[in-house]
Amino acid sequence: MQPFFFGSSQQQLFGIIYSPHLENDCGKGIVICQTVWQEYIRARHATCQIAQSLADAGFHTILFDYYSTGDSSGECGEATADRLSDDIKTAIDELCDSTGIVTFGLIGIRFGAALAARCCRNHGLNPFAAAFWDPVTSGADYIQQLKISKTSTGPDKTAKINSISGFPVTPEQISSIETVDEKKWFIDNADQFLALFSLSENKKMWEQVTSRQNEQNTRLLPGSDGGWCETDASGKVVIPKDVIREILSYFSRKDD
Amino acid sequence: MEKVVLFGSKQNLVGILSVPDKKTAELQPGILIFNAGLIHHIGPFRMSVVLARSLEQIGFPVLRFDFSGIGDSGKCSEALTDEQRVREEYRAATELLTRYCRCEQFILIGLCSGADNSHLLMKGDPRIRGIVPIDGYAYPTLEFLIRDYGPGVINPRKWVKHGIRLLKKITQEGKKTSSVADLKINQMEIYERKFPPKSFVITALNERLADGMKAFYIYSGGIPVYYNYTNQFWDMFKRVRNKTNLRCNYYREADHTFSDVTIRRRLIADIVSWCSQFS
Repeated sequence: MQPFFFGSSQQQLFGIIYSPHLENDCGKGIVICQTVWQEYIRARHATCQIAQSLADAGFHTILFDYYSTGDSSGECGEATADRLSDDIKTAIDELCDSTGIVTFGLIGIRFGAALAARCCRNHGLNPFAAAFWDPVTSGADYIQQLKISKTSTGPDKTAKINSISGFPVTPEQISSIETVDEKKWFIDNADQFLALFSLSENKKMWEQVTSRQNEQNTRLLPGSDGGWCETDASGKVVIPKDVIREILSYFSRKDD
Repeated sequence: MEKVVLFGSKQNLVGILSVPDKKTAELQPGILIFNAGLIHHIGPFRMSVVLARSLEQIGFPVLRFDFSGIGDSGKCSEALTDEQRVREEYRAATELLTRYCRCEQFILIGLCSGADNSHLLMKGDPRIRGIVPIDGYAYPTLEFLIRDYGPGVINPRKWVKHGIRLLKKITQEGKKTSSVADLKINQMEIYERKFPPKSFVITALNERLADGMKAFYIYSGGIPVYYNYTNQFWDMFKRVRNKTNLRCNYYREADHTFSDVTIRRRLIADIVSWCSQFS
């Protein structure tokens, strides 16, 4: 495991590359496109486990923080959807440059799935495999979901600061996220990737968007501890073993 | 400037070291920001990142990192108790601050389990010149009990509600499903807070405050099960001496993780202001 800063020195991004042992190195890489805000915090431990598991299985894996999130530079609310999506390309390039791999796959978690799709579309990328976990296809739907989730604080009471699930946001950021609409990309490429769902309502929404039901590459794996946005006193995290197992199995099959 | 660091005897601990540009930083105490529960080193709502960068701006070296098995850090491979592990990893963190920034003194900041760790560590290390436990130890006082039980005593609906809750607890005992068990992190125990006897805490505080350590206790309104009024801190710690080295703020309107942006910014500003006395 190698944590480091990469990208532009003025706007550095934080990332961790998990490398396989030499003897089982399959020569392929995987870029994990995380979600944002409180969902990111909830899923962080799971994403670390996914990254380590993939490295153990032979894949060079990068886990990174988008600009203005996590340990990357920038303040909350600064990054637009295009910036977030371009960071995925930066991470892909960094993984390829650092490890020498040329073939990469993608994992998109929640809004990270929409960002990954946008990145593929904008840069003409063709990952060898992609797995999405409770994928969000539309930024507008996502913002709407978050605004009505029980932990959304909305505008702070004492000052005119907008926030979503406890994170300050700017009107520019929200507008840019609301323009994200990757439904067509997901519909066009539905046969090419795996879609996993922890919550049945997310799977239903997906099936409405893609007009496909009971697909072989779509799985409902319930058992997550509550919603994506919840906060609680102990900072409980989402560690769905079934999801991690499915992702690992999927990429291992694709590598064969 | 921020640097990514990998440290510890097994090089399994991940952290971000904030190094101020000023030369005078070499004489400043190093600040350590601990994990809050199971949340990784960025803290709830990225609080630790903002706090670390704010402290760096006024000249303090700051290390925010993950204890083993939390966040980005690898697991601890040795058979150590939790206390041994925390002490060992704290030692490694202070060594790093000393090596990179020539820190000889330290300030510890932590929320929830981080507060508990700062209490644990302050006892054994005279180099710790300040602690900022957020939602740390608290003990009932008469006023706490009156505020906690009083409304229930005079409200019969609360008796019914408590009764229903107790009945549900009794009837649902043992019905936990395996999917819930699966949510544990690879058999790792979810942190359970156990407060030591108040007398232990008072003794430790008296010792450390006497040698000049300062403490800034912070409580939120999100822990009403053990803290529910402004002066509870002073009431519960009446026997603590050297109170001039003590400060306490109660953010009644805040929840445990300070999810409200405005209140969180105020919290960070107050911590930065308190730390500035050490520079």
